[in-house]
Amino acid sequence: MAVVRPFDKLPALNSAAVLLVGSDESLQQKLAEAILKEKKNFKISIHLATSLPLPSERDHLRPRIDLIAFMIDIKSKYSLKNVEASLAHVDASFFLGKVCFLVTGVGRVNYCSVEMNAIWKLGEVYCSPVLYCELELEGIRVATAQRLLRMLQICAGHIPGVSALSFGLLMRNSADE
Amino acid sequence: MESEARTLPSAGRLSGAARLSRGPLFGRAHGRFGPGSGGPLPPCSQENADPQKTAFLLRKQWALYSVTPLYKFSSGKLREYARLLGAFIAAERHKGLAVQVGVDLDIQVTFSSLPDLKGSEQDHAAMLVQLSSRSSVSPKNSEEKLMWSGWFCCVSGDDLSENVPEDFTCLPLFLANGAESYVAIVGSWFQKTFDCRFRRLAISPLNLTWMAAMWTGCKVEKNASATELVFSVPCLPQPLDISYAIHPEDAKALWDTVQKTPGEITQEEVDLFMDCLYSHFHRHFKIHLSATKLVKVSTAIASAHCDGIIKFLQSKYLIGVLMLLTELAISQIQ
Amino acid sequence: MDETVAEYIRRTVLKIPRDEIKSMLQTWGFLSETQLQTLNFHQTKDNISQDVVQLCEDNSADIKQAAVLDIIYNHIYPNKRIWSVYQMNKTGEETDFFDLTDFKKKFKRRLQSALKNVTINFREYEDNAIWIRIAWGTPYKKPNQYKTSYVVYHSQTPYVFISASVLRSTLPLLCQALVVASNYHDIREMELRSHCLNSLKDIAFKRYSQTFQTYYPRPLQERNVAPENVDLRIIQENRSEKERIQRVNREVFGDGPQPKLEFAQYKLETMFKSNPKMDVLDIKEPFRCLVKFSSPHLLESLKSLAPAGLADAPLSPLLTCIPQKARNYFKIRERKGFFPGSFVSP
Repeated sequence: MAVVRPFDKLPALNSAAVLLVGSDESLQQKLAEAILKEKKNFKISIHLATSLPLPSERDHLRPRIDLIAFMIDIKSKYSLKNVEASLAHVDASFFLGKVCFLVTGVGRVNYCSVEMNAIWKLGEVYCSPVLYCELELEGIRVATAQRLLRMLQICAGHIPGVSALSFGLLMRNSADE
Repeated sequence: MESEARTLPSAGRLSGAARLSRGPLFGRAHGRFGPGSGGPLPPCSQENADPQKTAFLLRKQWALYSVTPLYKFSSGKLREYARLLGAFIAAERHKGLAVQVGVDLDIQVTFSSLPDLKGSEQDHAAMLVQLSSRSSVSPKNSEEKLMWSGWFCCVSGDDLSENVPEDFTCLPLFLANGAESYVAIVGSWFQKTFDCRFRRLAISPLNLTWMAAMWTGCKVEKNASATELVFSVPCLPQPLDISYAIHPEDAKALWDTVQKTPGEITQEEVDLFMDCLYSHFHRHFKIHLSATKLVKVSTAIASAHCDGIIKFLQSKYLIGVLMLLTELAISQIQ
Repeated sequence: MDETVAEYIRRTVLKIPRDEIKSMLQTWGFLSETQLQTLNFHQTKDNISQDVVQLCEDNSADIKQAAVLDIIYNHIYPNKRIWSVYQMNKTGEETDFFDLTDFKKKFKRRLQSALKNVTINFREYEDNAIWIRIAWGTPYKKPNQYKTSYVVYHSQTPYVFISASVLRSTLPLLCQALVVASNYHDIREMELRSHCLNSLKDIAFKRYSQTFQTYYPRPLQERNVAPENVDLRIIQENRSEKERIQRVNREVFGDGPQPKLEFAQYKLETMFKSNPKMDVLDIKEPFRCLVKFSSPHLLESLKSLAPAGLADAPLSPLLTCIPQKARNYFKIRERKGFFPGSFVSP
């Protein structure tokens, strides 16, 4: 109930669901809108939550979640703490390629309130890719939306021959180089 | 939270390679700041520096800049530089650019060396540039008035000094007090003459937390001023600032319970110190300070603003603070 | 005309925005309409002020009249000063009859007998407020017209709004004179300060919109949780939590605009309790800190904290009690006894 599980529901045909978790709601909303603007050939639902666990009264309404993106703003240490606390409510099997960390505010080093090492370590510990971006810039927001969509398609099993896990490993390997 | 002792504050992976600050030196600097001074480096020059000679640097607001290494700079030519800069300023004024000074004012330029402000053998001696005004109508009996001062320094900047080619002088930190228009004019002369670049040096909230912790831990006399943290709350319809001033003894007592690694300070300790303060605040007001922006830190040692403004308050810790700022300046130009 | 009077009038005129100079001079009524017509209001303020001084010279103005112009300016721009609220108390069942002439006479007598040199002006306004301007001197020195105190007193209430002079030592005498003149027994500072005099009145007189009822008519509720995103593909998982925050916030702050305060200050001497996760020894002595909040509109910004996710809902009573307790300066100590989580403000 409190834990989000990846496989406790059957997938709906030709559709995918992404869950964005983060304390900055306006940024979340902007990203969601950017994702919707992209062309896609499947039905998408974007779930926004400030933190986990998700409220259980909505469990029956929610489709199977294919991808969780945790949003961290380097300007707010609270956003990192919030994500760290939320991670405890995610079922372990999600970390087989269905989770990513979206770090925004990158490039505003002078505003940095969190230690980058801590974020990088989060990716290591939870075996999930860390994407660095600046959601306040429209161009980067669009690119990030496209990237997330691609990951979502893979996680939802829409791309033949690529599994979420193998893709995740691929991403992590390229990030380490 | 793991508590692995790490001296690097932020050797992070920002878009691959860019780092927020360099590691090892920062760590060493903290050794010097830390209580007991039992760090990897023996306590040195800060005691040797003559407080009389640097007293004029205290209690003034200095705007911070980073400067790339100076090409073909020679400390033997300071007099000549003063004459050239003076001529340059006169020429600029003639063009009616940049500087707004009364026509009857003569600007005197002086260059001097501040050999006390050094951290290591490799450091180049700090250099002070002063502009003073004198009425040209009656130059004899009018007093000179200091209008602007700026100084270049490098305290324990070995990482940079060791890695620049010959003919370059490393003075990566520049501090200025006075009208900004003079920074522009003096800066452009330096750029032209020594092929260097100036850039404002902001201090990130993360680095401010380091300063808050390090300076709180320093021993000062009784009746010291409080450790004051100023936060600005972002994205509200009406701006909100929160000042959180902690009695110096209580702040130090907290820091002493948090600080466990002898002779150095770790990121975890700094984080824990701040988290403790945040949680005490939250218990009273239910506000998450960790979601706001730390904009200013003031202690008995120094005060620092995120816009890149510093005020030194204790000559004893001048070198230590400069070491940290040199560190930040170097990380900005590298 | 005294030179200091001329200079004082000149400086007062300089403070007034140019397009309001005429109307303030009219309110002042010291210069005749014909005189006012000779003034050119399209020149620099400096020149206007010189011309006004010249006219006042012709009418041989004295400091009492100059002071009235200052009151008019301060009445229109009370926000230029900082105001502090005081409350007066009676001991027994004295008669409540208020006689203005008597008040003025006693007030003046009290200050004049102590200082000899003092400029006192009264001006009554239609909202039953008496504005008092006091310029302080000593038995040997003329009053300083630039370091004045202002008092706004509503005779039907026990509240007095004081904008004290920078000459702090004058404050006790001023308070004494007020108590004596208004037949009260004592006076105390309420620890409520702001630039906004009207908001202070709203708080002291409990005039601000108090919508602290727990029942809300339905339409109101629907208006406040209007669908933020029309696109059904975006689903707000925390919708009900957000609604709760809105509801709690409304219960605490009400629906109307908040009174305008610019700061609140808390002197905390409470125990430092660390989170068990943090592994920090508890410090046995009280942890001393001073917390100051400042904002152009403090209560509005506090109100927006929880909806913005920057604070818990409800916000701490230490902050939300400001209008009800009518104070924005607090000293907080740990409450001894059974409620470890609560604080007292003596």
